[in-house]
Amino acid sequence: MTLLALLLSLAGFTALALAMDRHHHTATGARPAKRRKRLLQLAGILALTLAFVVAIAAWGWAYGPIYWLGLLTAGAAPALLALTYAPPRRKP
Amino acid sequence: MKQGFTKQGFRQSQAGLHTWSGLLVGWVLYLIFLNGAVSYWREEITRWAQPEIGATRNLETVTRGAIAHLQATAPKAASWQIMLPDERASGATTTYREKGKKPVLRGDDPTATLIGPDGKPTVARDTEGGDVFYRLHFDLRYMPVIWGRWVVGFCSMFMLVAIVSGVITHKKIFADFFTFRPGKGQRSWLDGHNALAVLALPFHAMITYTGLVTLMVIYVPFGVTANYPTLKAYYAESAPRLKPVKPTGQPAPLTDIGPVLATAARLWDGGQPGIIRIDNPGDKAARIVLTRRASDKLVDGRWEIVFDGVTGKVRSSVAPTSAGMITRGGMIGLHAGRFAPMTLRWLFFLSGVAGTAMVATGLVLWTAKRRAKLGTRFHLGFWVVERLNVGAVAGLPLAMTGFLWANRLLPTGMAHRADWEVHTMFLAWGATLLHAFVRPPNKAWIEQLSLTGVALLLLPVFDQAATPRGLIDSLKAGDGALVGMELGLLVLGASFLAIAWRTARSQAKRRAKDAALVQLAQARG
Amino acid sequence: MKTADVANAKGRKGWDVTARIVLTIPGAYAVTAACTMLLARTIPASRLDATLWATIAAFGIYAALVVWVFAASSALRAGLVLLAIGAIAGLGAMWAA
Repeated sequence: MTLLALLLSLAGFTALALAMDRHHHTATGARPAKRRKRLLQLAGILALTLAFVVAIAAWGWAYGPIYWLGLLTAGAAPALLALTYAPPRRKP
Repeated sequence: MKQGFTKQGFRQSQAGLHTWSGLLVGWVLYLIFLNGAVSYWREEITRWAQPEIGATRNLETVTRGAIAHLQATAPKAASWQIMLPDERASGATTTYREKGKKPVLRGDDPTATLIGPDGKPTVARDTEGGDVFYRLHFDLRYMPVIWGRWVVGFCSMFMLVAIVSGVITHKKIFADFFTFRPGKGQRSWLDGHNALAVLALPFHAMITYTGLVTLMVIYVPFGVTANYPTLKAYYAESAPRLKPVKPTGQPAPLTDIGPVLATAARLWDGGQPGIIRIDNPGDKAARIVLTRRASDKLVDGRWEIVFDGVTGKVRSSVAPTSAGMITRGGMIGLHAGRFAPMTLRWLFFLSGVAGTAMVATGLVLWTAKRRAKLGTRFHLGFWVVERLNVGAVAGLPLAMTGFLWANRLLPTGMAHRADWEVHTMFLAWGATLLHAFVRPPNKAWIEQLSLTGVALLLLPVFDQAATPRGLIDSLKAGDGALVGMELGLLVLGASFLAIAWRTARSQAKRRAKDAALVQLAQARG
Repeated sequence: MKTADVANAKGRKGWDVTARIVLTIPGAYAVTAACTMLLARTIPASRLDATLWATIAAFGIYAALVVWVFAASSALRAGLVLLAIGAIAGLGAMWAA
């Protein structure tokens, strides 16, 4: 459950970051279309919400939110590092 | 110029507030954050600091041994007390109080005896272990405790202000969230500071607010004075004490502790006692008071069961029930994280490290900004702050490593040994400050960071060679806490060396760039 | 932003910042004390719970007051408003006793 919530958090933040012009450009070499941007944002929020659901299911209402917030941090950190250090891709 | 309540003006006013409050309390906050983060491993550090004792496997063995020891050494005492280890700690401590004497509240109790995992009295080196960092986190040191707490409270309050004003200042908080541009000087420090702050923002806000709540009646006694005639009256209502019972003078054997522990576990949903107090042992009016250990519940507060010491029947029990006490206890519990199982403990610890790094980058950012502005001009304030930054940010971890080395190297029979471990830490800190003032800052950074790294890396080597509980021994014994400590020291040491190496590399790059510019200027004549 | 920063730094004289710091450290603290007393006496709960909740809220109140002191268009204005809040809360607390 910890791993699942962590992966959802990582996926969520990666999607949210890719919805930003600059990071999308770094990752794919192009700015995202409006539709794709919306889609990525939606996917990101959905993944983070799912992580919350998983946390509540696993640890209950008293501890679930604490785990969720902790795992949000733990998921966002590798997303940030990947965006910083992964080599940028240029459009072919 | 009229500066109305515009969004822009508001943000700028907060930028000033953020810088001002940040620098005012930055160094103390760094100490608080670093020692707070380390304190999530308080029990493990204490275990590491006393390699004489192994892990405790069975609480009942220890409890029975402790009672047997007290029965043999202090049968006529007015009261016995047994401090039991929680699941991450080891070794119980027994103390007793003679009839007509007051209990020792602070400092060393001369009646204290350490009970080992096998239930027999044992001796371990005199050390504060992990408690030293825990205490430093909110009491500071070498000053009356109340002063330390006020300084810490003041700084924490301005941490809260810095969090709020920092969030307001930050225009694109979630856009910059994912942005880190390394190798760009001031820009990188700002990016790093922002990322560390926002990444663990829920933790930073939670830990600062709940930290203030732990000592709130000291800081804001006015709620209490509004409703109670005295502070005592408030404590009598919030934490009522058990009335003492008089001994009858009729001897009676103490009930078996086994069923008492079993009943407590049943009433507390599997919870265990952290403190067992036995009043009037050996008397017909004997009473056993079990206080629940902090590690198996979130809400901090008084959970107590009182047993008849002769019949073993439950007499009364208390638990936090009022909504206010649960709110307060929940916040304190969340802050200290005593309840946290390993996964959550790691998340708390790493968030604490992020907080420490956030304060450190904030301090460095302050100097980076001003260095860019000043150029080569001399400015006394800047000169001092730049050096204090080295002595605080790089010096404190080195001093704390010094404590660990003192724990290993000071002779075990030495008088006031535990105090000297702490003195060593502060002498080392003084030395790092001095070093920071006599060396050029860029050299001082690298030297202190790499020395910390080497000193940390050598600790596990020393442990393997000179103590019975090195990494390999603990792996064989399946002693997770000590394996974790040794590996943790190795990882920390490697991290410090990596930071030192990166600092050296970026300095070399900057120098090369400067040299190239000079050459270019010369070539052009 | 840069030009605004410069203008701001020049517009804000030393005494203005000093005044705000004084307003923050003893001033806002005193107002927080008054607000905490008022809350402790008026929150509809048992005496103990009301006391605890009011005390917990105090840190939020203080932080908000400090932010406001630095955001106000002038130190004088900040001082007057602080005085007004403090007076109202203090009188309220006395009335609620």
